[in-house]
Amino acid sequence: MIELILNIIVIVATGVIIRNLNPIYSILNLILIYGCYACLLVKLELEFLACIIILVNVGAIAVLFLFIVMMININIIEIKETIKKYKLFLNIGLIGIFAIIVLLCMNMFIIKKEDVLSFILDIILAVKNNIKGHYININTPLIIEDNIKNILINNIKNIDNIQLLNTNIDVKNASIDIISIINIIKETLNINYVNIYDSFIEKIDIKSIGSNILYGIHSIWFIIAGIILLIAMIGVIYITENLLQMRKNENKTQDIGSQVSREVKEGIKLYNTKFDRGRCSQK
Amino acid sequence: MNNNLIMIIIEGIVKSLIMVVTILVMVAITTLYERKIMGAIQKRRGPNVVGILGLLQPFADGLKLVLKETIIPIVANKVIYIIAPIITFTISLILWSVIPVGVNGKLANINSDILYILAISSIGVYGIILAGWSSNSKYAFLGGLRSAAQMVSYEVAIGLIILSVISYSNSINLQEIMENQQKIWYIIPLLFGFVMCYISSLAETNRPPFDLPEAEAELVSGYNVEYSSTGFALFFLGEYANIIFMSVLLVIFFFGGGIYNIIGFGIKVVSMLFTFIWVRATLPRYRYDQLMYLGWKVLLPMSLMVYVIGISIIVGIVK
Repeated sequence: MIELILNIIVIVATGVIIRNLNPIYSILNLILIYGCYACLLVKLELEFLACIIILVNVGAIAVLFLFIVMMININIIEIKETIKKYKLFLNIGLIGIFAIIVLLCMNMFIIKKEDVLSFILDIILAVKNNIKGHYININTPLIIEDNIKNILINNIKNIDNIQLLNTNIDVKNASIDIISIINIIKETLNINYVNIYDSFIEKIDIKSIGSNILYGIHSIWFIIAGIILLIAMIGVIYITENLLQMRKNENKTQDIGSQVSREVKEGIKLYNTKFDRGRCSQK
Repeated sequence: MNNNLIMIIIEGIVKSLIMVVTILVMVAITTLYERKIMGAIQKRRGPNVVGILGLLQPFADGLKLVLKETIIPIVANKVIYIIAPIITFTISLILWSVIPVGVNGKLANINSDILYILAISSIGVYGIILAGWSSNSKYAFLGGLRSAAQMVSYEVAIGLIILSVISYSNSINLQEIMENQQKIWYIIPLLFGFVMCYISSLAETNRPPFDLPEAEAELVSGYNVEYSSTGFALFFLGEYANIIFMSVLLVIFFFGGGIYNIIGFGIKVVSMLFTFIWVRATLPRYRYDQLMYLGWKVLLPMSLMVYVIGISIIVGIVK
């Protein structure tokens, strides 16, 4: 629930960043987004990464952005004029939003498989807690009790209800063995995984950000983020190049024909300004 | 489950209320303390009219500030203008949640305390910079920009010295840092580090001789010119809470803190505060270019040097 709210805030703030005319508001929304990211990371129990995100992005990068933007002479009317030229591109951007929604829907399936994985990991954690300090020999054959088997099978049936961070006490308290659980789940769900204990250790460590999350299960998001960054870069270069071209075409060569045929109506532009409030005015 | 949650929430509210009230009283007493010491240094009496020995002076000041009229300039950006002092005040309060008082006397028990402090205190710049911008006045704007530049540049030096403290104590938990200093205070191996950290923390909290954002001769009062009554009071409280917080942090890093001896901890903090005030009464103000020179060309390389030397001592001699 909290994650959903945070995600909605992020999406709305992103929209505000794109549509807002005053760059100051854009940067403030950017800071809001970083804050939401930090909250999400705290929710995932990655407090180190959350602190680092606040420290680097909010404390250093966004301050410098804000610093620079505040000192620019912002002319809202001029920005409005330039935005009119790019309205087409803004509408094309809707296709991008649609694509992102499709990707999110696809992610639902990915998450379901991960749920199973985390379920297994939780059970392993429970076992590890129960046999404190003892080395678990995986190769020894073990017998499963019937009631525990039932608990397991019931949980596997209700696999849709299992959260990413599972804290189901019934399952955790049951004293059961790793290999049998893994075998049951393997048989019932037919999932292939490699070296589950290692992946569990990596999931709780900082290492996991590099090895497991960024380049492992979630590599697709890493790649998509890279592509979005590339597109943004190309877009910025395109816009500035366009502006530079406009400047070049506006140079001092005289076109006598257009000068002579100019009329008064074309020469005067009327802007609808209510009240000039100086630097901070939103409209 | 539900009942438990409610109990946790109530416990949290009560704890944080005690914390906030204590901090506010501490701030009030600190302002009186400062005025008394300044008076003593300049051979005058200081406040002595309200209450016995002027003890009620800060409360009278606070009451006066709250009862005044709140003025919002018509050209100001209203939302940000109102939010800015709230940000400053809130962040100066949030920082206190990780300060350990006694054994396990923490409000929030997170493992990476120092990272949390660095992260949250870096948000504190926004209150000042936004106040300066949203007032839509040239003095306020210049004051805000100056203050933000100063805070950002001195944060680097502080961070590096804190890094060497971390590498000495092998932990980023404040409690463990205090426990590791039971044999020897870190001021002995890190004397230069302490001096630089002290100077940087003066600049970080906008205290004299680095109080350029509030330079009365050039900018009227800096980023808070346009603020009156409660807004101004919030800035004031936030600033003083930050000063106390900085001195507490310095005591924890270099003077052993106080896990088992809370009274000793209090004495250390008060004497650290005294040095802050002493510096204010003694030294003249820096020029702005001198300030930036000091920050980037003296303190930053020196603190890097301290860090490298500290690391090499640890690696070469101790281990």
